[in-house]
Parts: sequence; structure tokens; C-alpha cells
Amino acid sequence: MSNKSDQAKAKDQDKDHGVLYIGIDLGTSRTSVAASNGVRATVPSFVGYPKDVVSKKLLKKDVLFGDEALEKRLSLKLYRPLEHGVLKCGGDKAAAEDAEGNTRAARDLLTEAVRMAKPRKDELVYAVIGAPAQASINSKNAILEVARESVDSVMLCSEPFAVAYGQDLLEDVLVIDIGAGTVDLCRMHGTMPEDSDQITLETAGDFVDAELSKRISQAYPQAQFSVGMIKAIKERHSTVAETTEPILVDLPVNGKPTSFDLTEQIRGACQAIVPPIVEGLGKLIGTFDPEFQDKLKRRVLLAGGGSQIKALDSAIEKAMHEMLGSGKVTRIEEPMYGGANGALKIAHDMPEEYWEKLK
Amino acid sequence: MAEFPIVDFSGDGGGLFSGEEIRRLMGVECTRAERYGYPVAAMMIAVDRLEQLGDLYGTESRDTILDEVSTALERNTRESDLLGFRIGSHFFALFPHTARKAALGLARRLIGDTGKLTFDEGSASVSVTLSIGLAFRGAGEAGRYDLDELRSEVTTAVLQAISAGGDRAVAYTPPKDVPQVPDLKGNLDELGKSLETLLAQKVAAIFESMGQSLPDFGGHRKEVLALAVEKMELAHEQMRREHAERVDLLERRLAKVSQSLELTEGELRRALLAKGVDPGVASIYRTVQGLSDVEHDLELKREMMAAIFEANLELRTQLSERTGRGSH
Ligand SMILES: Nc1ncnc2c1ncn2[C@@H]1O[C@H](COP(=O)(O)OP(=O)(O)OP(=O)(O)O)[C@@H](O)[C@H]1O
Ligand SMILES: [Mg+2]
Repeated sequence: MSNKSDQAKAKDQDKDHGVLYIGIDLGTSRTSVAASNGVRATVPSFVGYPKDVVSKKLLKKDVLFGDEALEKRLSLKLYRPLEHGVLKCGGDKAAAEDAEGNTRAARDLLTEAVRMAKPRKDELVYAVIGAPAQASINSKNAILEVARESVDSVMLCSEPFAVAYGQDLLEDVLVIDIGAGTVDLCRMHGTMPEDSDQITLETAGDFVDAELSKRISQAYPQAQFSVGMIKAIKERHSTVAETTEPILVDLPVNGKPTSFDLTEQIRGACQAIVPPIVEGLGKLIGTFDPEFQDKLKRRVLLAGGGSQIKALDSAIEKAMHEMLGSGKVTRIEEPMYGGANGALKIAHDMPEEYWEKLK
Repeated sequence: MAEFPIVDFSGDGGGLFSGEEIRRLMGVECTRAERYGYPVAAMMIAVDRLEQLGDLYGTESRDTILDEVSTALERNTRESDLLGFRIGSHFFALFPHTARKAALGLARRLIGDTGKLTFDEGSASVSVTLSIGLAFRGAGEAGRYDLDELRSEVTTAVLQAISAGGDRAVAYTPPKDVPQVPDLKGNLDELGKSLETLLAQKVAAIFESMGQSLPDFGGHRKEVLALAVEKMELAHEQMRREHAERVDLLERRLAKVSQSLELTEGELRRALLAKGVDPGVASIYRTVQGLSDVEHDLELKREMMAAIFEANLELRTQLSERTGRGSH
């Protein structure tokens, strides 16, 4: 027996859905969202607008996103509104060409991200957006300004903080975020990492792609391939495990599919990102309070799309043992959503009055 | 914190604590609950038709019945915290860490349990039923954890239970605020006139306060008054809208809190049951509401949320300053 009438219950449920919290990871290559209604979604960070009236008629759309935009890029003016996670328009390189177009693209991308979270009409949307720890005030402002138009209340937080918070690791953590353009190493001890807590490396996903292309051309000059094919091969087979089954991949030779053994090339290209990462970790650990250095070595989080390279966690651990004496690396679950999940958790833990003050 | 029953149900102060002491402890518990924002439930229990039973079976039978009820009360609340005492033929009890749902469940158990309580008194068999009044405090009601207020609420509720025939539990509901609407029928005209006079006086007062005499508005006095009335209505409407928005926000907040509490409680229950422990309601609330080991983390999280908010507030201020400048 319940003393609540069904009507009252229905009303309660209505109110349960009164606010939709969403976490957004605004990446150079991908934008991911996680929402309190359980939705997880991701879209490549590309925005395209039909070049002319004819394309617009043919495409039957005013704006295209992600893979679809890439696919139709010949009839589109294509934007990638973020660079190193920073809005191209509001950054310090504000002189960047077509600032207006980039702003519009960023705004449309965020609106699309919110739409992917499927808010109901009557819901308020409160969003936390992860921004790179090193983002300047100007670029943070630019993101905020753009975001305020598609949500009811919005906050920014540092992206590595969101990743760590999502794992319930609140203090003394090292976050390795391997993206497409950059690997961000960040030492967390509080909410706002300072410049000295942060190291950015260029040896990220795109670097692995370039390295893999180079190695394949050297070993098999006759093989033909494109950048897109290489990226797909990497995402399918990436590994730094010492022993694996041979990795056999078909590549065209004069238009005819031919099988190649790419085991060494893939492993080599992936392994190439390990030494710079461990060197960076060494710097962040070495300049930390000596009393907590061991704790820090034991709390290393691996996140970002590039962290999906097989056995990468143990490879970094091994290199840490050799170079720093010890180390324990944890790859987070759902690495593609680490930032978005953490941002969602922050959004949910944020007291309501804060949200309301920022409305 | 009461980790075990602290009760004097004998009614003669012969227990471990006197009624006075228990009352004080209850007050302390209320303050604590308010500070940490955990729920409390209060209960007033009366035995139905106790007087008649006493008349029928002799005064001793009343004591026997009351003893039986207090045993049932202690038996049914073994795992939860309980503070309570007897006043005459009523029992007043306070349950810290007990939310509405759990308290109603408990009241139902009590009623079920004593319903079966048939005991021999001479040759007769007496069947006893209870009336129970309940009141609750929980998250979002800071400032309202007042023991006297709780007691007067449960008293009202138990009286309702009794007058509805007994053998039931009634939760206190605050009386609806019915605004006093004067009877307007028939003298609307009169009211309109006096309103006009009142307005005219107000307007005159305003002019006077500015050191000027009241112009005759070129014979447009009526229109001026109508305008004033319209403005007042607008202001009133605006106030009403803002109020409704505020209420809506508060309701959404409340829903979130109760939703996440339910989720956490369910989650914890599952986890604890999986390990084969049933800690009862009380300790779950302690964990959920940060009164145990996780308190440190919660405190830290609160600080972090505040820091993020501050940083965003600052960004926001800069932003509005910038756009403010830009538009000039
Ligand atoms: N299975 C995989 N193995 C290796 N790399 C992968 C895999 N899946 C995705 N990647 C790479 O991860 C990168 C994208 O990661 P992510 O989505 O975290 O980047 P981002 O956050 O958008 O970029 P950035 O952090 O530079 O702004 C791409 O280089 C992609 O090729
Ligand atoms: Mg990233």
C-alpha cells in the first residue's frame, strides 16, 4: 500500500525530468556528450555549410555535422571550429581568418551536441563543458558565450579535472589524455590546474598516423593508401603488446588488393608515443612535493581516444618502472567518454543554487 | 547520537532516563538532524478506546495494555534509532534517520502487530487497535526541525486518526492557506468607490511629498486613476510570475534531491545485501548523508564545486563587462 496517489507520483516523475544535466567534451577531433537521461553520443568535430544555393537544395540542409559533413565536403564550406580544444575565433590568435564563421560553427556544434542529448521540451538544460586546462581566459569566454545560447545554464571546468573527478579520484592524480592533435598530461591537486601542472605534447593520434604512413612506405613502397585508410587501420589494430598475432592488412598495389604484414609497423608507430609521455610524467612528478611523489606515481589515469591502443597501460607502466622506479597506470572505462562522463558527474554534484545563479 | 532505544515507556519516570532527559535528547537530535540534513520522523501513538477497556476490565488492564504496546514498539524498531516516552496514555517517539516511507512502514507494522495482540484478562480476550499520528522533516526543511512543532503536528494527526475511527496511521498535512476573501457580492460598487478614493489619496500624498499640489489632470482624473490601477496590476502580475518561477525551481531541486537519495539508497542496499549485511535504514542514511568515512570526500567535493562555480562566476562577470563595454 502506498499513501501517494498515482497522480502525485506522475507529477513527481515529471519533476524528476525537470532538469537535464549534460557533460560535454569539446575535442578537436570529436565532441562527446553524456547526459543524465542516460544518453551517450559523439560526433566528429566538423561543421559544414552548403557552399551555394544549389548544394543547399541538393543536401536539403542548412548545416551538416561530423562524418556526413566530411563525406559531402566538396559541396560544403567546412569548419573544424576547435584547435587544441580552443575556439579558433576567440583565442589569442583572434586574428584567425574567418573568426565569424568559426564562431557560428562552434555555436552550431554545441547546439547539435545538446540536441544529441535529447532533452525534452519542458526540461531545463544545465551543462558542464570540459575545456583544456591551458585554455586562455579569452577562449574560455568565447566558449561560454557561444554555449549560453543553447543551454539554460553552463559552466566550464578543466578537462583533466573532469576526467579525474569522473573516476572519483579527487586529489593527487596524473591524467594522460591522448587525443588526435595533442597528448595532455596534467597533474591534479585541486580544481584548477596551473600552467606548471600541465604539459602538452604533439605526439598524439595524428602523429601515430603519420608515423605509420612513413613506416609502411619505407617497408612496402609499392603499397598505396590514403590518410583516412591509415587512421582506420590504426584504430582497428593498434597495439604495443610485445607479442601479437601477425597483423595482416589488404592494401592496393596498382589497384589490386594485396596482403601485407603490418605487425612491426603498427607496433612501432604506436610505441613511439610512449617515451615522450613517460618523460613528461617524470617532469610533473619530479617537481611535485616529494612526500606525495610516490602516491602520484600510483595514480596515473589514461584517457582519450588514443588510449585505446592495446596494452598501452602496461607499456607506460613498464617504461615508468625503468625511468622513474615505479608506476601504476589505470586506463579508464569508456575512454572516449572520460571527459564527458566526468563533466556530467560535476554537473550533477553542482548545487542547484550555483546553477540558478549562472542562469 | 542515539544508537539504541532511549525510552521511558513506563510513564512513571522509572526508566534509565527521565522523561525530561529524553525530551532534551530529542531536542539535541533534532538540531543535529537539521545541521546534517538527515530526515527524522515523529510519532504519536494512542490506544483506541482505552478508557472503555479500562472501565470494562478494571484499571490494571489499562497498564497491561500500555505495557504490551510499548513492548510492540520496541520490538518493531529494534534496528533503528528510537527516542521516546509516554505521556499518560500516549506514546511520543522520535526516529532519527527515518524518512517518510520508512516511518509509514513502521506505523503499519505497529498497527498490524498490536492488532494481533489479544491477551487474556480474566476470561475475556481483548483486542487492541492503535491510532498513530506522524510528522516528518527532511532535506530542504532546514529551520523547521522544531521538536515542539513536530509534537503539535503529530498531536493534530493522531486526533485525526482517532476521529476517523482509529486503527490507522495518519501523516500530518499542513492546513491549506485559504486566503480570506471578503464577501464582495453586492457591494462591488461601493468597493470601487472607496478604492478610487484611496487611490486619489495616495496620488495626492505623492504630489504633496514632492511639495506640489494635486493638479486636476485637466479633468482626466478618472483616466489617471485607471492608469495607476493598470500599472499596479502589471506589477502584481510580474510578482506572481517571478514567484511561480521560484517555486518551479525549488520543486525541481527537491525532485532532484529525492531522486538521488532514492538512487543512492537503492544502490547501497543492493551493495550491502550482496555482502550479506542488512544494516537497517539508519546506517544507510548515515552513509548517504556523509556522516561516516566518506564525509571527508564529500566535504572536498563541496569545496571543489564551489571553486568551479566561483571561477565561472568570474568568467561570467568579465564577459558581461566586455559585452557591456562593446555595446556602448
Ligand atoms: N582504437 C584506437 N586505437 C588507437 N587510436 C585510436 C583508437 N580509436 C580512436 N583513436 C584515436 O584517438 C584520437 C581521437 O581521440 P579523442 O576523441 O580523445 O580526441 P579529441 O579529444 O577530439 O582531440 P584533442 O584532445 O586533441 O582535442 C584520434 O587520433 C583517433 O585516431
Ligand atoms: Mg580530448
